[in-house]
Amino acid sequence: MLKQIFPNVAHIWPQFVQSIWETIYMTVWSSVIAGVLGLGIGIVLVITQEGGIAEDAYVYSLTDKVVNLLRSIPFIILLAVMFPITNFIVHTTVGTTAALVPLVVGIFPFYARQVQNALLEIDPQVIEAARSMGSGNLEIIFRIYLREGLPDLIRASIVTVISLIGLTTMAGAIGSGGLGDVAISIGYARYQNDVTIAAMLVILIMVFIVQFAGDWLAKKTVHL
Amino acid sequence: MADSEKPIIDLQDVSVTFQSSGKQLHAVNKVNLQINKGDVYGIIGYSGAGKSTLVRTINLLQKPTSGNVIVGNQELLKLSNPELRQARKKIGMIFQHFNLLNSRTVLGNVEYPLLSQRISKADRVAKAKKLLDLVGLSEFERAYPEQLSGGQKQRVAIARSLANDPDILVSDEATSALDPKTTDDILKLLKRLNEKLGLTVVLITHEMQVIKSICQHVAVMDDGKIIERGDVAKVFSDPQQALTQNFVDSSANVTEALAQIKADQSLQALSANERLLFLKFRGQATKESLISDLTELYKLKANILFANIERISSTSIGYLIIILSGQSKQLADGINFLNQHGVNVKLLATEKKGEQTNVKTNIS
Ligand SMILES: Nc1ncnc2c1ncn2[C@@H]1O[C@H](COP(=O)(O)OP(=O)(O)OP(=O)(O)O)[C@@H](O)[C@H]1O
Ligand SMILES: [Mg+2]
Repeated sequence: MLKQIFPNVAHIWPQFVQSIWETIYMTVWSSVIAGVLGLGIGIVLVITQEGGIAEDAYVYSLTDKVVNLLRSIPFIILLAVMFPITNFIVHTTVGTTAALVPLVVGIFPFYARQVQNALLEIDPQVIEAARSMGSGNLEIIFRIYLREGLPDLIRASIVTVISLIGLTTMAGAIGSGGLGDVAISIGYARYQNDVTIAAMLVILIMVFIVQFAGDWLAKKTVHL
Repeated sequence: MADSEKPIIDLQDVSVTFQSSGKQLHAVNKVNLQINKGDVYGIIGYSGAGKSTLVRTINLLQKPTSGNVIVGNQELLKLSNPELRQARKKIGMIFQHFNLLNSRTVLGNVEYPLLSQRISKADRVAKAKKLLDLVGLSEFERAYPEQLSGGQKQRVAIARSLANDPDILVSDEATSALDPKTTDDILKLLKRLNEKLGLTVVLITHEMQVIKSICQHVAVMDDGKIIERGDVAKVFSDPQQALTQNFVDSSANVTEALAQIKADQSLQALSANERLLFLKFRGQATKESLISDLTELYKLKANILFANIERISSTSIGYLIIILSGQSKQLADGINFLNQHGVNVKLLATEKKGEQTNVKTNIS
């Protein structure tokens, strides 16, 4: 069956399977790293903004500007620009691990904004109530912001991971490996359309799984 | 002065100034306020008067621009951050929109303030359950806030505010989003907590009924200042300020009635021998049969459009809106007669124009 519809895929089957794992590898690790970074910076944005629990105009405007700056760089340019930095951090410029660096840099500002927006949905009056009960900033961050905001944070994470899957394929352009790489270097370069289509289908399935699991989780966490 | 006689809340010369678009806004302007332990102290004023800003200085949610805040013998402005947080735990606060945590159950909400205490989970849950019982919500402990009515939510908020055994409860318009019956229930609960736990209650409102029903003392706020204060019965039965009088009037629905009557087209074209009058009288005057005297002594006809009596402790304030008709001479004499008997008479509309003339201000 596979041989008839996707002859070229069958031909490179082990490589194709390998590329699926590479995409998963890149997505998972850059999600984790960018997730932590973005969450941290999103929280910093929320608490240091005017009226925030740790209001600090200087920190806010600096963070805000950096996030905006990084977000405005097109990813394909970022890939090229990041070359030397990547080399410095992971001592290589090709392969999945090398791709993690630009992927993280490309996605964490986006996630930070998503986190900021999610947390801003929480009624400031609820924060005020917590302050009136003697809660300190850490308590407010962990017991109010992250908890009350969890369903929205999960939704923001879904959007981010889905964008990230898209970015991993773009990283294929610099030989990162993964489905994007296969689609470009084999499907596109050798006119093997079935490879391109198979890669696309696998990516669509990944996106659906993330969306579905995320929605389910978001619903589950409305009440804890 | 003995310690026990010192006010539990002592705001000294407190000012809060906001900078908004280059302009200075004195939200609270050199306010001095002392509240004794066990008191139920009301603060009344219109929107923007600075009530919330003032009470938020009590737990330093709002830092005063100048002045001193002493609560329970502690100068709050001199405390370190951890000390201040500790002090805040002894000052409960409830709000107009309840501000519950939607992700937590009712029980979880009441447990929240205890999470930072070093007590076992079992003790924490036991305490939260006891508090829910106190506010009459035991059977809802597993519910989520969104499943509760406004009144129930406010009860949860009250239970939560009591978790750290506060000495003071500050209520910022806690009943403003509730219907009259629920408002009454919540106020009764606050009164009960005041009596049972010796809780000092500071209560903000813009409704005089709220003050009348549970407060012992009241401060009237306007434009960042306390313009009148004291014993509730005294302040409202003999208002010294126009604003205070306003609250008394609107509490008796007079403001509303006046507006309706003034808007009524059919009352705009009164004949030359008719007068639309607004009468206000206090105490003694309410006992006398003024209207029947008018009809008998001056042969005037009185058509009553609105009547109400507002009772403030032992004093009654009566309000009447009437159309008085008769001969011009007798109308004048009749109005004179009312004035002499301590009735404040206002002419609401003449047959020519709808302008309002103060015949004579004389209320004693
Ligand atoms: N954080 C702030 N920044 C700037 N101005 C403020 C701030 N908080 C309050 N104000 C202003 O201070 C004044 C008093 O506000 P406040 O909220 O204390 O009034 P209030 O008496 O509680 O009114 P309401 O009955 O509407 O709650 C208002 O003019 C308000 O706009
Ligand atoms: Mg207010």
